[in-house]
Amino acid sequence: MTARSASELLYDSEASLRLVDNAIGEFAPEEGRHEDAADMQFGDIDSLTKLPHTLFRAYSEIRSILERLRVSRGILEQSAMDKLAHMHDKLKEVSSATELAATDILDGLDRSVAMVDELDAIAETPDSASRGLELRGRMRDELFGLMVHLQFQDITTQQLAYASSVILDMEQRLVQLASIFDPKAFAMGGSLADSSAPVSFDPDASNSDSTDRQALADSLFTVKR
Amino acid sequence: MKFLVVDDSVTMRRIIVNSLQRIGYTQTVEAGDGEEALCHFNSSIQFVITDWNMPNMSGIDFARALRARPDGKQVPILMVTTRSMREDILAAVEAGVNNYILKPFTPPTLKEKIEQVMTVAAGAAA
Repeated sequence: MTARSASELLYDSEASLRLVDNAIGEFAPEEGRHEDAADMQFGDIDSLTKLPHTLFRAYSEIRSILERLRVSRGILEQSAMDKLAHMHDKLKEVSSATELAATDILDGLDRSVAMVDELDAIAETPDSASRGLELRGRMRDELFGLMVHLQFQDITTQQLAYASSVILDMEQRLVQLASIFDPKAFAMGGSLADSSAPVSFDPDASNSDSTDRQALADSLFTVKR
Repeated sequence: MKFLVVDDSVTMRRIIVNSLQRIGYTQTVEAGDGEEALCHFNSSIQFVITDWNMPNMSGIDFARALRARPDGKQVPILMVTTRSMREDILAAVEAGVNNYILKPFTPPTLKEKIEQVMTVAAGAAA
């Protein structure tokens, strides 16, 4: 969903909820006026004859309010669900990428430790120099590979920044809606996040399908070059 | 050959610089965003490796700014980024980026792309 359509939906939600608020205001009893049946005098026939009409009006207003709330809820769901679903996927990916990277790093460390043991074992053998050289080379590659695995940190940072931006967006929408009902309570409220902080992230950052994505980049650069 | 490595992630800069050293390139200058990179850029820089998503000035804006400078028109630019949408890649081509690597990358891929860019640059200069 584009930012423009989300903002239009939010405007519609606000309009619906303002209508609901007005309807509630209209239905509230005026000061000094008693419409409660228990407060009416037994002989107040006029009031009693008006009661069915009043109840019917109350019923109609409540139905109308519920309908508008249903519409508002639908609009909010429509605008929020796509972003939340994407955020959920990204958070799941963060979790699996973190675990995969940790596993790869532990595997690499296991192999490196085994190579150190092997270096110890061959130290006294006649061909220790040549075998040691080859083993140290393999160990350097292994240790360097561990460093490369740490790229997951940059990707998960962007995925978390995206999740954070969605939460901030939801917070702002909720505050806007809540302020329709009680503007004073939310007028002074600050945001959870520092919106002035520079944030730059790729909402589609991913650890997966890197071969396919690289192939697409290569093909486009080959065509354009 | 002297490299300018631009990325807001310290971890990524370290991985790229270490990868460069491992494939034989030891002269590097680092910058945390496009603005800082423009300040560091001078005629001694022979190759630029930049990320896309950075605060203050993105990698794509940095590439455009560099191509607008008389001393930055010819320098090879390699973008190392997570952005893999078709329109992003095409935008990078239009901005004057010479080649493109998707994160996570491996050092052999980095080496291959640097060599490709250098070969094309040498062919163009000849």
